[in-house]
Amino acid sequence: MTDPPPAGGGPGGERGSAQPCRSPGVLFDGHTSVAVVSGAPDGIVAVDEEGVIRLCNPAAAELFGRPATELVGAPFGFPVVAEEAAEIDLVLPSGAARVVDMRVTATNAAGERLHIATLRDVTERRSAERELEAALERQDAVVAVAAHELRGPLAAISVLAHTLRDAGARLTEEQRTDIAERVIERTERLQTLVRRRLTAARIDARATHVAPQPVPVLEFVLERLAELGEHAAQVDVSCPPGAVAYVDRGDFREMLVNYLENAFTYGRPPVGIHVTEPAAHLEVRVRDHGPGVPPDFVPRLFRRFSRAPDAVRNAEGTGLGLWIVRALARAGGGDAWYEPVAAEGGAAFCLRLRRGPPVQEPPEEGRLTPRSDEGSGRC
Amino acid sequence: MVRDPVAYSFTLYVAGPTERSEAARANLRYLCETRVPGCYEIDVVDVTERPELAEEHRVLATPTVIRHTPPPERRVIGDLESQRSVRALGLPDQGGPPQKRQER
Repeated sequence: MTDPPPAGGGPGGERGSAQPCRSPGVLFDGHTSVAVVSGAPDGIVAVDEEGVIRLCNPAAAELFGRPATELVGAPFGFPVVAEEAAEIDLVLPSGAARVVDMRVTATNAAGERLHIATLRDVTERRSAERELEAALERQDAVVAVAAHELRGPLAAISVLAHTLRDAGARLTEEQRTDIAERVIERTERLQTLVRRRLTAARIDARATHVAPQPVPVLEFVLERLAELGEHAAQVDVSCPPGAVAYVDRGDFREMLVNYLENAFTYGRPPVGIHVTEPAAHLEVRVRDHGPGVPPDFVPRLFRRFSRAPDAVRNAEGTGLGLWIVRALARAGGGDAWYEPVAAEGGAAFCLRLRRGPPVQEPPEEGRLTPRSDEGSGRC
Repeated sequence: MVRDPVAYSFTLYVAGPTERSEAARANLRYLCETRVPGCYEIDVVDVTERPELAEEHRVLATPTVIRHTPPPERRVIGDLESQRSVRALGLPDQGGPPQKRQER
């Protein structure tokens, strides 16, 4: 029986005594278990001077995704680490890779020089680091875009307020009223921008649970039109009596308002809200009579920060509205998509909602989880 | 001393276009340029594109360098920055140890 290599977590080893036991620490020589490496949390392979694996522990077999019988005798390679540790990729049988930190020590066992490579899985750590970097980059972009969006309306409000203060006495009542209305209009624009930003942040943080409930659709739509102000007169509604959606009221409001804002910003009135009940679901279509969406832009329509290249220059657009609609719809078990209206021209933005609670909740139900295949069109 | 033009041939196995892969490629080239200039060849295999080659040659991890010639075959895994790499690959111990990665 061969003595265990002292490095890499032997019974008295520093690593072995400090780490929790992940699997039995037995070094395997292809035939028999030859040493106990008590409490070893890391994969350990001992290679000879030719770089051939002579011993390994079960944790190593687990890391490589291969049985110990396959590893022992295999050419691992002479392990070389310039400093304390080197990062390498283990090639798994599936073709996937697993990132590990490799530390190397040497020892003599039964008169033979062995090099002990201690392997610690850092795949999750590396993945988390990459996700964090991506999140930070996106956050930088979000802050930059938000600052850009807010700067215009704020500058306009500032100019108007200064005009009221400095030239107020010389202005007619009509001029003062006009300025006040323009301040109100820009303030509302800011409120819309902030509302979308907050909704997007809520979706990103997956912080809000969906609380679906039966919502009478016609009454709900009429409430939204009452909030729409002068635009309400340009909206026609058709809805089966008694139609009910099983949806979070706040999310439904956000989705409908975003569709209406989209119709009035990029489309042209009259705008129609058409509700149908084709099957188990309920569908809402918001139609406008604008130019529609260029076909090559349709796949990107519901992506975040996506705006058509010929979008109205001075339209307040965040590139968030449609992304928000789809994210909320899918979080509630529905979907959102676009349909061209070939016969009459214009665009139809569609929403599918549940009419009742699902028979069986999927695992992620109740949390806002935008799918990764955004922009792929109707499901 | 006159060396055969391709006295040293290596295959470097890497996994994808990562910083680690690029460093391994640059370090191996640096080692060869400083130890066996003009008489080496290096093939690079990306195991994410050619997994069958990794299986065929029993490559368990990357970056791995296999020295095919001169025989016998030698195989090194890990960093290629240290003096130990020179010895492990059987390169002549002359021209000074590689200290830094080759800038590309």
